[in-house]
Amino acid sequence: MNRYTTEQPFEVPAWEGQPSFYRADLHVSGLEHRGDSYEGRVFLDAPDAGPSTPMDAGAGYAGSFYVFGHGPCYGDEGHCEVPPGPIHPFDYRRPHGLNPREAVVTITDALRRRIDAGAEGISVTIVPTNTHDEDVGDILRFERVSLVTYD
Amino acid sequence: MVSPHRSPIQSQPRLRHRKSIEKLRPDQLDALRRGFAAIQRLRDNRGFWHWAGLHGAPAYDCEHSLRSFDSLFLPWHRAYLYRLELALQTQVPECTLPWWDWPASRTSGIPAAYAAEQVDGGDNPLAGSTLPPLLTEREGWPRRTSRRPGPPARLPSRELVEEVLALRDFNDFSLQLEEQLHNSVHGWVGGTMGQVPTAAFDPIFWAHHTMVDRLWSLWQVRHSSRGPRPDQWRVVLRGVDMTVGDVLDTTALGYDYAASTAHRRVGR
Repeated sequence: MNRYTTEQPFEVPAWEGQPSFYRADLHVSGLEHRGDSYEGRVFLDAPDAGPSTPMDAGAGYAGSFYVFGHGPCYGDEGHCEVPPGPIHPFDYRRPHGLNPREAVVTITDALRRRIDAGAEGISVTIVPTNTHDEDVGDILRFERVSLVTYD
Repeated sequence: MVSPHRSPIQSQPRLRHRKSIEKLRPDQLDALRRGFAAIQRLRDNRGFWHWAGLHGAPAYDCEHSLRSFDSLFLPWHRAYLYRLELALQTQVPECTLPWWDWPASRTSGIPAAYAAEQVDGGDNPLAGSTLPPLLTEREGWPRRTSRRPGPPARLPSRELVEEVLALRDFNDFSLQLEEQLHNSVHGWVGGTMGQVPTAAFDPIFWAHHTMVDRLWSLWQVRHSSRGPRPDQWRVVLRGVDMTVGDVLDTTALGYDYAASTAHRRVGR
């Protein structure tokens, strides 16, 4: 399992010392979706979380994103290689289906709970698993995780 | 818009109503089974392999979100369902696509109509299908669809569905509907449904996506909005021969969603 935890915690989103947001989203960008479908479980301040960790507030569970995976390549050699982009200015084809994606998980309530508990920084842990709570191997691949709040 | 192909001497065309798979009358469920059985027997472009193969292997025409602000996920799949339903009705005219009410299945799992392997002494065409040669030619690849469903309680709850329906921004709604509800159910069913190239070969795919389409229809009514931006309406949806503008209104495609329907003939 390639669980991910932020190396540096996110600063608590606050203005003049008070949290001021009505919604908080976690964006997982550059997300690969080549393998099996899986669930990315998001935990706050729970770096040891795993597939069997309860999905409840007490364990730091904040929400999940779900990847609809492509599974094995059913095409010929090169079919699942993502081309770098249009081959010329008149190439109007839509992007290759295996371009990385972005997942968004709304974590408003979980973030508020951590702030109310006095947290000064928020770490994010993502646990890849499936509906059977199994270890799905090294399937989690992405480029960036971002915390976006709205007031 | 799509031109209805009907004789000018006919009265107003009758709207067809899609219903929950759990609420189909026996004759309606029988029509659905006969429709799927008929197209599963066809190997040409009227048949199940052709239509299932548009979503995944070999055509890969389906639209799933690459970016959150220009998703064609809902329009593409509405057009796709419409085309499959026409293929069914060409074989069995009274056939309509049912939806899979995920929250109602949180105690029982896969609906019985799709779970039973045998019906009336024969194979249930809703339980699975054979896979085309492209998907079976390598050693170890299965020849039939398969499922590995999770615990029923892991299906989306009524509360989660309502939270998504309450989102006012269309792109926000579309992305959450796709990722939180649609993707999770694909993974929950597992097996063939858990992979984009093969998912549409499982007959339950069509009930799953009819639920997705129903939620878009409910969102449109609740928020008095069609959804996609006007500059997207002329975008052609790959493989299904329609534009985004063609699929904004389900009644223009001849169907609506209903909890139940009952008809009585007027005596003359």
